[in-house]
Amino acid sequence: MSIVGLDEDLPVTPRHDVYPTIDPKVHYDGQTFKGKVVLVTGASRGIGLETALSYARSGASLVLVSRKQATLDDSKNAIIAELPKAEVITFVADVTDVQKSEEAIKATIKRFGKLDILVANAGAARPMDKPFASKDPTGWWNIFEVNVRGVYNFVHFAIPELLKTNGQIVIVSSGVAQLRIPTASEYCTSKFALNRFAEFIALEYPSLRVFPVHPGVIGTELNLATDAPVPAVDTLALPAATFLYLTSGKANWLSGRYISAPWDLGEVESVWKQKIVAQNGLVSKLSIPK
Amino acid sequence: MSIIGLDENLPVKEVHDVYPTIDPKEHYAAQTFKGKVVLITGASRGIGLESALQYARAGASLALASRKQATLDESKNLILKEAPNAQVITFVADVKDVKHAEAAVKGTVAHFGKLDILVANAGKIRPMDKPFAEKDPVGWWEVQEVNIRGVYNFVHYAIPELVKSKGRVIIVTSLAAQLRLPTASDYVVSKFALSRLAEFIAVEYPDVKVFAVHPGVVESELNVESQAPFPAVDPASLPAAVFLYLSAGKADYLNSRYVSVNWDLAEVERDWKEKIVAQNGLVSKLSIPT
Repeated sequence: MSIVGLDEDLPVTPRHDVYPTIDPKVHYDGQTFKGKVVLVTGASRGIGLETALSYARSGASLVLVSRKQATLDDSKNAIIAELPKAEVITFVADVTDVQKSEEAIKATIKRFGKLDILVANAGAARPMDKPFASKDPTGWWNIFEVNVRGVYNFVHFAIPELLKTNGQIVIVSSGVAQLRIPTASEYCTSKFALNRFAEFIALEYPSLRVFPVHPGVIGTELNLATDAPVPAVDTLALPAATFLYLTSGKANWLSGRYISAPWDLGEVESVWKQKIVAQNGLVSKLSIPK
Repeated sequence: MSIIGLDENLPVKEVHDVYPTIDPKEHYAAQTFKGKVVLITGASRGIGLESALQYARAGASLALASRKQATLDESKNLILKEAPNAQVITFVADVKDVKHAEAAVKGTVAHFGKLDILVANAGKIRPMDKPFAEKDPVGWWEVQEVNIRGVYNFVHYAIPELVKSKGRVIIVTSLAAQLRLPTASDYVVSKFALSRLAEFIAVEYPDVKVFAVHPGVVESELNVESQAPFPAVDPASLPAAVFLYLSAGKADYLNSRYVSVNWDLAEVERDWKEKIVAQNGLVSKLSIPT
């Protein structure tokens, strides 16, 4: 499949499951995130739920945000069943709702007194089936509402709290940010925009770390809904473990840059770090020919 | 001023006024756009109005879209004064509104029988004064609504007509798309996203040519409102002339790409065209270190 943009990728060993560099066992055993408060949007299933579980196993207190109380309860029960002592609260919110986003942060502070990590994971995609002008224009924009505005809203209200804790933000982006996949203009462009927004968070709030991360291609409900012609070869554990790795302080030099969970991050650090920093790599730039 | 991204620019001679290569006089004399129908958003003032005037002088029929009938009427009168035989219709439209966009495009086709050129020029900016989390979150999103959605809405309805006429889309973007200007995250993210939308228009609708054009820094109401630290050194006649130049098919190798009106386009064609095409330049790419 010759899609424009496939070459905009680091030539490192591809990973499809947890690997030693990011093995979360060290965080489970060491309770790395004990005393930390983590808010996850889109926490009722898929990557969001696996992420919440991983942070909980590592000692964190969790705030789960999603659109339905019933599925949030299921998620909370799944965490408590595994970790009876975990502190978990739920909050019903549609990330596109500014007021609800603000209330979710307030509820977090009310219950836990602070916020350390925001995982902006909630996302939306439409089936990748027709050129954009053949589809509903409101549906096209709705993808931006969820994927860009939904991230913006939570980041906006989280920032004052994160500034107090020298906190961190993980944004679930996508490798499609680089790909010009016909019939996927809204999804690709929304994720493309997110990566520039991540640069601005880092620029305007340098005491925070922000990581826009491609989580891999995983067989979640969102992935299935797209009918995307890309095989779902990555496990849920891969992005979850990657988020723990990034927010454990192991890769602060990557803040503001696009990161792909299928990259072997040990290799990225040992082989590419110097060049990435020196050349301001892993951000999007207008390509000027040589 | 050391802003990240200033180097994402073609190192060609800088122009700040109309120059022979793009002089619209040749189009006025030849009536290059006679029989062509041009729809312009944000047509009531600034760059939009000047573009309308130049297209009209060059023989085009005009559909002007803007938010207020009064200012549209003034613009129409100005055009008819300059080009008494011009056919000009107006549409009150807020580009964020899907229905307005549909009505404007369909109304244009109903009146003129077709559409050849869409100039998606309407834009919005907020003062560049504070980090984003200190400002109104609704206001941040409104910039995306006007600058991305507003372009998308008109493109969406224009495309079927532009496919029939093998027409063109001029998207007014900004140099800001490349600049990590603190306090300008909303404007930058919105214009950055437009460059990828331009690529998708080209990918999904190869019969339609599309150009994402930085119009220079023109003294317009938008520029004044931004309080941007960039002196307004370009006359509106410069971007308008470049729109005509691109619409006349003079630089189709730039299809889907970012173009700055401050580049000497003769020099770009002579010294850079081959490389731009061979390396797929002037589009945004994830920067992979060398």
